[in-house]
Amino acid sequence: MLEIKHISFSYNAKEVLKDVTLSVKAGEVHGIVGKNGAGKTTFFHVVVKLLNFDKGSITYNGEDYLSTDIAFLETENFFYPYIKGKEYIQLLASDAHFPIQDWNYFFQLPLDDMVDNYSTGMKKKLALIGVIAMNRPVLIMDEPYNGLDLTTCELVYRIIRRLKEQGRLVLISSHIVSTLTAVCDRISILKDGAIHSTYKKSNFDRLTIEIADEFDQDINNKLDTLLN
Amino acid sequence: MNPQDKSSFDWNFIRGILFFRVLQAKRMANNWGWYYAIPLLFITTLALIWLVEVTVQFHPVYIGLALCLLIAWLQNKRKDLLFLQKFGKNRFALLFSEYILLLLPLYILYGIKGKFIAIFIAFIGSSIIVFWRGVAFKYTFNIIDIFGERFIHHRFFEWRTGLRKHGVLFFISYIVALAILFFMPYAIICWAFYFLSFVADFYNPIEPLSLLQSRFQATKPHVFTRKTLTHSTLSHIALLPHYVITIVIKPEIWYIVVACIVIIQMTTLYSIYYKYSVYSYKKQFAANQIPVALFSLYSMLLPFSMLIVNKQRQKAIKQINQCLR
Repeated sequence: MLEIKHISFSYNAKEVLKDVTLSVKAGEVHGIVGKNGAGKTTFFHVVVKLLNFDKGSITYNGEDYLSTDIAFLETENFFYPYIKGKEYIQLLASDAHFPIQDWNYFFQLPLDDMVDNYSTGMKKKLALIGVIAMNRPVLIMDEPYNGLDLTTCELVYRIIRRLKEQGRLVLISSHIVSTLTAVCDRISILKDGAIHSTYKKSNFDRLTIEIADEFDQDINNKLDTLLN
Repeated sequence: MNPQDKSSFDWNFIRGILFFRVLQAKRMANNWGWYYAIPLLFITTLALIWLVEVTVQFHPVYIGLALCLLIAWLQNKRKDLLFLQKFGKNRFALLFSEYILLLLPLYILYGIKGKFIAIFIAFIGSSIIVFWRGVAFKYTFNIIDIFGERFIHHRFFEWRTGLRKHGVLFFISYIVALAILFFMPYAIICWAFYFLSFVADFYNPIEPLSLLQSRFQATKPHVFTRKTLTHSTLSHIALLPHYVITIVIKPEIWYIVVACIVIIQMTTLYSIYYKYSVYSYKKQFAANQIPVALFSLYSMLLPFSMLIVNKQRQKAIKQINQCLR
């Protein structure tokens, strides 16, 4: 179980994360949803130890953990220049016999080409295979659906469900609620750096209503003024 | 021209691109101001005449090879090759005409001085360089790449990608250095420093955090030591033919070869350690050219350079442990 307790993080005297508490069990997919700038990426960077938090504690199975226990899929992936897709996966794979070609059957990437020539979506797919190849118990995916087509999104849903069945712990963020409700067991709303509320699978309809309500309140009035 | 039709040969297209280059030059002159551009053009012409006057005394083969190296360097530095790849066969003719146009003043001046062999070698060399690269891009791999993939393990990704980046220039320099060492064994010193400029560039890009984590999962210093030792050994294996030729041709300068081995060893270690000592997941490049160049100059002063390398090693280990905590 990944336990995040009362985490706070400040950047340039601005409190980006405020007393964030969250626990995710093994075999659970937990979604984080929030507006741009809500602190989702910062939260993930704190969990993968790229940033040092000011207060609180994070433990995995009750102990401190290494960042190498976590496979992290970043929003924007950068790759080593002049590297080929196949080499990238070979370097990441924990097992020398990782079935690269079998996985590529789903993604159809030109693995013998240089990654520099890939499109945004192709780079995302490659990063996804890389994350799977790392074979880590915890997966953190920051906006994994960005740049992916509908078919690949569906494929990613299925992969995440299988990883969950294997007992992996998955933390995932997205701007699009429907992409989270499709795979998550629980979804938390991150608002101004704090967990605003958490919804179980049975209450996902309420989550959608809450987001729509907020939209109604905040934006509809202004849109009416501007467009009428 | 229809860009899809790669087999067609369209002079209009080439003329169009060359005209575009002339316009580019005009735009640059406009940007600087013609007041500066015209004197600059005049000074450049004088400099070229002076260059030809100075170099005309050398053997035409050397002049030709120098021109080839210049074209290889230009070819390696240009950023529009992938764009030009779209135009298939025309790309070869286009690049060839561009380099002729670019070096035309030099060809004329050397022609006046009667150095026709040098011009001939430059022509042959430039067509080989351009065609070679053209073929490489057409099939998305090149000979160096096949060599790299076959003989260099993917864990030496810095070398594989570095060779892919510098392919033609590295290969030509390598062969030219071999050839020159037969006549001038002392040139091994120059070649060692030139080779180190490639090595520095191999270790310039910084790998993403996920790659770093997968390589150094154990977080143990001996994993890092193994990497540095195997990589510096690779440098020596690459230079082995040069060492051997120098020793065979002029055994009495063995101490220069030893000095080169020390320079290569210490600077390769320093390049690797430098890369990891400045590692940050936000960075994409270590910007190591100046530190590595400076270090290579005093790398022969062993006790001093060993201290620096050791200090850099400790920094690198600390930084890696920080990233993998």
